[in-house]
Amino acid sequence: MKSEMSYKFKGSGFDAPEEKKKYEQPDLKLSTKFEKLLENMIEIEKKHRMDSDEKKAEAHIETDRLIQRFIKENKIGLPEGHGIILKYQDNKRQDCITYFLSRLHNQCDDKAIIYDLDTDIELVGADLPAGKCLVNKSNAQYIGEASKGNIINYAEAEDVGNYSSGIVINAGKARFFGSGSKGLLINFGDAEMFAVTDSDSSCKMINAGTTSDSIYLVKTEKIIDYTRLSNAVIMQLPGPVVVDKKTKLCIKTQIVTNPEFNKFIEDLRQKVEAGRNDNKEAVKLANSLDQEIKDLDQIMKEAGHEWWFK
Amino acid sequence: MSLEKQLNSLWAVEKKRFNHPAVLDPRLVDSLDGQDSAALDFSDRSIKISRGFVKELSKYLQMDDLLKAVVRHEVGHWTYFPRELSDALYLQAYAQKHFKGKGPVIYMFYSDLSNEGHLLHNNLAGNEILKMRETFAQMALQKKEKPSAMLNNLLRAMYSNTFKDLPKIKLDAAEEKIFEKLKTIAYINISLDEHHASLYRFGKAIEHLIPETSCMGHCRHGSIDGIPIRELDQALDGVLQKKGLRGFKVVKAFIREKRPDFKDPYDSGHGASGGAVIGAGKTEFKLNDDQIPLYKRWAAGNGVYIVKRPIEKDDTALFRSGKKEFEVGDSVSKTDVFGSRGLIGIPGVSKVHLEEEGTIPSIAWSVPHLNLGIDSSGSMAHPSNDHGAMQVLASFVLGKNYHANGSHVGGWNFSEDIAFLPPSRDLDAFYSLMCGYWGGGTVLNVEKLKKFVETSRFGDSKILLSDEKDYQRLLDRMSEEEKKKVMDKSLHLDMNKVRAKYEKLDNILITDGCIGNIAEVLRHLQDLGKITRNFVFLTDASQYKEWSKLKLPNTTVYKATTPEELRNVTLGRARALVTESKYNYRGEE
Repeated sequence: MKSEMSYKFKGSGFDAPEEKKKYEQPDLKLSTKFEKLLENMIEIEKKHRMDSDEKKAEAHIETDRLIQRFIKENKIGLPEGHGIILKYQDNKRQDCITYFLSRLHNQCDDKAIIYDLDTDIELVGADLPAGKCLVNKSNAQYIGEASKGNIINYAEAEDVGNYSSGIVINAGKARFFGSGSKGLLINFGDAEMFAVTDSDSSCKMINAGTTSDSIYLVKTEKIIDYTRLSNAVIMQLPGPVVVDKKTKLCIKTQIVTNPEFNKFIEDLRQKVEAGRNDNKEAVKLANSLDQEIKDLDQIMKEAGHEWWFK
Repeated sequence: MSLEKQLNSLWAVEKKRFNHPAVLDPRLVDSLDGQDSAALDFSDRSIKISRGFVKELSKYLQMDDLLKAVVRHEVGHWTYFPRELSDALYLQAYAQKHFKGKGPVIYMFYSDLSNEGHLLHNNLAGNEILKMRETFAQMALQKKEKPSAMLNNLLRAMYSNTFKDLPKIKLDAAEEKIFEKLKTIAYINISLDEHHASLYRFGKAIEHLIPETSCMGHCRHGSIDGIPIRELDQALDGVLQKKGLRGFKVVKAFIREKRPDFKDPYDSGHGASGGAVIGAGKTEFKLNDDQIPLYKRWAAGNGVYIVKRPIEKDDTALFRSGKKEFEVGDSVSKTDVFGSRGLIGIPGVSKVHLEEEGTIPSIAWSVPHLNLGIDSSGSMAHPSNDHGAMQVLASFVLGKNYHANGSHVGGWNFSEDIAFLPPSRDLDAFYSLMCGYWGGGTVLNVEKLKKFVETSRFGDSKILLSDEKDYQRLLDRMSEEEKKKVMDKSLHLDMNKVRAKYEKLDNILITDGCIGNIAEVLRHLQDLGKITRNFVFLTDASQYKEWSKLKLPNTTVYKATTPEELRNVTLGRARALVTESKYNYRGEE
């Protein structure tokens, strides 16, 4: 009797609606499944204790399998996956959410991925496989770490393209750009320190942006300082460090005066700038980036810069 | 029956069904800013329906269904979604961020979808909503607006898919393709993050349908023109409390773009970032006064209860200071009996004592002054950081509450060096110190801090700075034996000199816990614990666990990793006092 009275609010002047309709929202099922996935990821972490590299690798393989199954079974594409990230952006297990995001980017069908969610995710585009291109527009701590694919960064980050082996374009702000990289690094933005410490001898670097107090500590000789920064201190390893005291420029920086090269850089800069506020342009660039670099190689070949290919 | 009468009689029923929502009675208008439409106007909380709109719809729909659908839909915007102006602004700002020029249209369709979903779910609307959508689709087709027709059909299909008792909707092949994506989106959401996720997915599924230039009949919907500045300001408060600094910045930029007349009331009268303290040009200590308005606003939502304790305080008292001749109206009780030759109350002959206001020390239960130490080493977040700096927020919350209790506020900002501000009533100077940033490592120069407290005068709001040579100077003056004691950290601090000053203070330390000379700092806290109360706020969860185990005397450790943890905090031994009072006055229970 009591429950009936309290339910119907009789005599209170308020007609309570009838019993709510039963309804189905498939996304709620999806959320439940995702929460289950998070639970399992935490379980795996506990099981392997993660105290050695081997155990970490085992845990990652197991987790990857789970995420792959989740993505496949629920037909998760980029919008759905990014929707999940937005929904769980304040989740306390940020490490799991971040890991899910990087696996999503690696496993989704899209070749060009735009990440512009403006979330608090620390790591974007980690281990991106070759053949993919990630356009990042969201601030993060690490962008494109150990990526084999291509990265175009417009956002602010502590590290961009660390240990990468693909093409990395920085058009944002990075404190460290391309540390330990083996790939091609092009800077159009602001990189406080460009390719610091032991970047591989196969690493190619073009600086067409600003690098305040830049220190290059690299094994490669394939450095083109397009913007000719007078305050850049460039040091090369191995061998003695030779720094021109007046200009502070290392004498080993390659000088390319070819007008076609200059045109290429300016064209690329324009394309990169076009993609900053227009995702369609960014996707266009991401899809054509490999071809663009082939054109660059052709220019260098025709200009007789053999050192570019060593 | 006239249209007005029909609307009024319908509203009498609907108002009751919606439990008397705090909106004005719906009214018919000739035009809605040049458009034939209906809208809930957030600026004056009124539902406006244009006559032209009703006339147009009545060609396809019965008047009863039409009015019901329109009124229920608009009240739903007030009751269910977006309901809060802060939520509406947050989602609109992000819709614009994600979808640029298409953002407003996507937001408006999502807003209708979520609102109508809630209405259907709560049995406050029924098939008339589907009929209204069908009518919109027909009208759009007549105007050759295919995308609008498709979107209205898709909305119908989503309702029909969710609520099985509604009629099934037939879609064409193109609509079916989009529907496959839409049917997995939740739209009867509760939390803002759920809405954000659904809005994003909804937008991604339909953005190709929306033309770049057209507003698809939603030009005035969602407009924030006319909303009082005070309400926009309160909505910003809401966003800051719900979504933190990142969301706040996005929404504030959105409001500034849409409403150039909006000025943040917290913004005035503060300096720029990167300034140095006057007279300390070479120091690494940088002020970030431009961040003060933000943290002031953020802290405004958080209250702290500070338990009073008995402290020596200067109370006002009257002292005798000279005499004067008695005048009519002077109090006879102040007569100088011996100086008046026995004649009391005779003008020109009797004398009265003059009194002057002064202070007298007395012990009273009151809120102590604040001496707050804030760690601004490189491991702490910078105040202008995207996520916000928790230590700065915590210091603002505490400073605001101590100040509001009539106490002095001051403190010290430390990394390897110290910037010290003696406690005073100057809250802005305190805020400025708290927003300052050193960077670098964390070694707390305890000896120097003690010196600052000893030599400073309470009430002076001038920042004092130490430099790295202070330690060296200290060591130079010492004998080898004393030096060894300091280096070995075996020197106990002599607190007697500063005892009187520290007794009046509540000593608070905000840090991430990673301090180089932690043993020394703990000893300092231990020594202080004998004289005053210590509160330690830790912004690092793992360090909080470590510090909680320490059991320092008279020291309470708080976790301050999120803004939520700073809400409803009590400083002081509230619980212990309750226990003690039971023991003292009622006997042991």
